[in-house]
Amino acid sequence: MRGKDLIIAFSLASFTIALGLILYLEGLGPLPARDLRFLATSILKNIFNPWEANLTTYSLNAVSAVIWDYRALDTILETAVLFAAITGVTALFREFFNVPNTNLQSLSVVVRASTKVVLPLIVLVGTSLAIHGHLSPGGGFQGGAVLAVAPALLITVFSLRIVYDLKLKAEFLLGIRFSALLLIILLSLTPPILASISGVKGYVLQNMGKADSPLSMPAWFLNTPLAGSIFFFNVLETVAVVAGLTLCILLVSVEWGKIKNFLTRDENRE
Amino acid sequence: MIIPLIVVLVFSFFSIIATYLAVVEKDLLNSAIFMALQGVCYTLIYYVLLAPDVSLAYIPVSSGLLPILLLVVLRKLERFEP
Repeated sequence: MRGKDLIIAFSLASFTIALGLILYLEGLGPLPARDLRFLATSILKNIFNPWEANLTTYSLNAVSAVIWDYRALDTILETAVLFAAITGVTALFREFFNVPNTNLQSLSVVVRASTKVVLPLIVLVGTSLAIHGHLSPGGGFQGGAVLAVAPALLITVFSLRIVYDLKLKAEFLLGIRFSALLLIILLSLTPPILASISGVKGYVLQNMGKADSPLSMPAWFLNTPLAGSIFFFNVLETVAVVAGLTLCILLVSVEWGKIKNFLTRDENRE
Repeated sequence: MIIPLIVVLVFSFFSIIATYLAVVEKDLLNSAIFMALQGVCYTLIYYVLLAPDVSLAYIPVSSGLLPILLLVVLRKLERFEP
């Protein structure tokens, strides 16, 4: 099986690479132009530009500026997609929220020791990605995904016993996720609410002050750019992603026997 | 300009091989490892193509969360496909 599979794989890969090379050398038609278009130029000019106070975001990372300021509504809907997925998993596993596992066997000493070494590094990298999302590459989802690897590793290596030792409940994780998402919505609605109180104009998801609205999120923290709502959105998104993915791993690692018992019990009743 | 092109070509070559082996492999544990290998190749390609944000999101998802999720699910199923 091995040799034949390898030959097929190699030939497929060579074929694809050849096609790619032909595309790159414009053999199948002209490629799009490489120079920056108007939209890219204006975004790059304005993401950190104190002289253009109505258009700037004070974020040094262009991607973060686009996803949480210029196109923030898209990102909120994107977060809603992940939210819907986790709601689906929760609905599927609703009967197994706090089933005690009988099979609580952790992995070997070598794996446990190396996990203990790697874990603080993962947490450190995830936190720095989340907090510096507006200064360097990174952001809410990236930081949250890196941070969620830590509890996933913990559950896999030390088995679910660590969850019971920490008294971590699925409802608690779900609550954290809900409150982070609610805070995101609330933060995006803060400028219009403040505006209606003080009698000026304000927009949903507004970050810095605009031409007809003086309201503005904090742009600087001491002498570091804070980028206003981008920083807060990044942190809240991180919390939401960590809680959601941890909940997923926690629910999926319920022992198969319990699920089977539940399913057959349901059949017997009918 | 020529070095990024070579890196992209080499790693896309490996990623296609890993993808094919992940599909045909009968041992699902090996299949999960091939998927992680493909993810590492894609991460490098994204980084070389100047998309560090995407590659930062791809590292934990492809080589951390996805294999762990597959391993957890595999413990409940049979390891070998018929």
